[in-house]
Amino acid sequence: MEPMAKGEIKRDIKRDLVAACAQPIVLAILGRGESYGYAILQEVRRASQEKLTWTDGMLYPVLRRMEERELVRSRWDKAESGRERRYYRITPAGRRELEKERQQWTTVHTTLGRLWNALPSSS
Amino acid sequence: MDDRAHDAGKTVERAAEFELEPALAKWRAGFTALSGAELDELADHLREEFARLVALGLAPDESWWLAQRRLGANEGLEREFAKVTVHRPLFALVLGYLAVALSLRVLESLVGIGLVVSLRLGQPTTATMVAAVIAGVLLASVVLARLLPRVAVDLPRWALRSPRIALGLLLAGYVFGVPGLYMGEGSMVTLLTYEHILAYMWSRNVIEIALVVATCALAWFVGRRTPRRAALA
Repeated sequence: MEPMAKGEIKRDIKRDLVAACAQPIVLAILGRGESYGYAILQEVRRASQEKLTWTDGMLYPVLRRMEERELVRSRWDKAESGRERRYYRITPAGRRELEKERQQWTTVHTTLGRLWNALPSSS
Repeated sequence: MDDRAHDAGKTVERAAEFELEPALAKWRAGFTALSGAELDELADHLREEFARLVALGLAPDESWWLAQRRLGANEGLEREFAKVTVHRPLFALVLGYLAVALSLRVLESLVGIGLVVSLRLGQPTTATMVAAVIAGVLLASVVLARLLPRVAVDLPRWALRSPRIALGLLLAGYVFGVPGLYMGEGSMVTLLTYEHILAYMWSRNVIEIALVVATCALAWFVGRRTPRRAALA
């Protein structure tokens, strides 16, 4: 992967949409197992093929908010480097929220899919 | 040596001189409102991103610049954290108290100054003095109640951004409020009995506690109704 040049900001998806999907994405990643901030962002980059890019630091207030709502829990533990690292895991309430989000996003996706399929072909 | 070779030489020199830990310490010093744990977590992120970019072949100083840029500006991060932190129950309690206590101290000191002025002008009785103090505190509370929504939401948020300044102001408010009680000869201390001062303190504390509870309840209520979507991009 080529590093981003100075001054270049990649922004493929609208800001509001990125913000709206932050919580379900984080829940989906943590739904697969415990993780930490940097690894979550890398996972988002990989899964979206670099199309969904966040200002990295903004993930952390999102995690804090989710913790406040008891959707995730965090704990500090030693990382491989020997330094302390904050790890997050999903709570039962978080799993219920994930399921709710999944249903809602599936509805949106299905609706848009049907409507777009009904559009006349542009070619 | 031509210019390009000279520039390349300077770049290599600059990269060799770069040290991550002092750069991280300098970066941390740029924050005023984040907790140690929050900064530790962000620093852990920066270390990882820095290591990844260096592994990709970027010079250490460029990697650090880019990692910092991707993490986001200090002000933006503090603003986003403040939106969350201020609504934590414990923080809301402490900061709500800070906000109300600060406002009360300022208003109380005005009452104190009024009393001292009235003492200089005449010789009121103890009963009228007590009534004046209670009436003054109640009046201050009424004024404060009108300002409560702003006090409950904006002041804690502002205090979170600059806790040192807020604490300094609170201290100044206390010091400023004291002269009303301890002005020496002919002041309330000599005119009021110990029981009267206790009664005054009791009435003040009851009002203050009630206002703290009201402030926290309002902060919690406003917090629940405020859209909490973070600006991720």
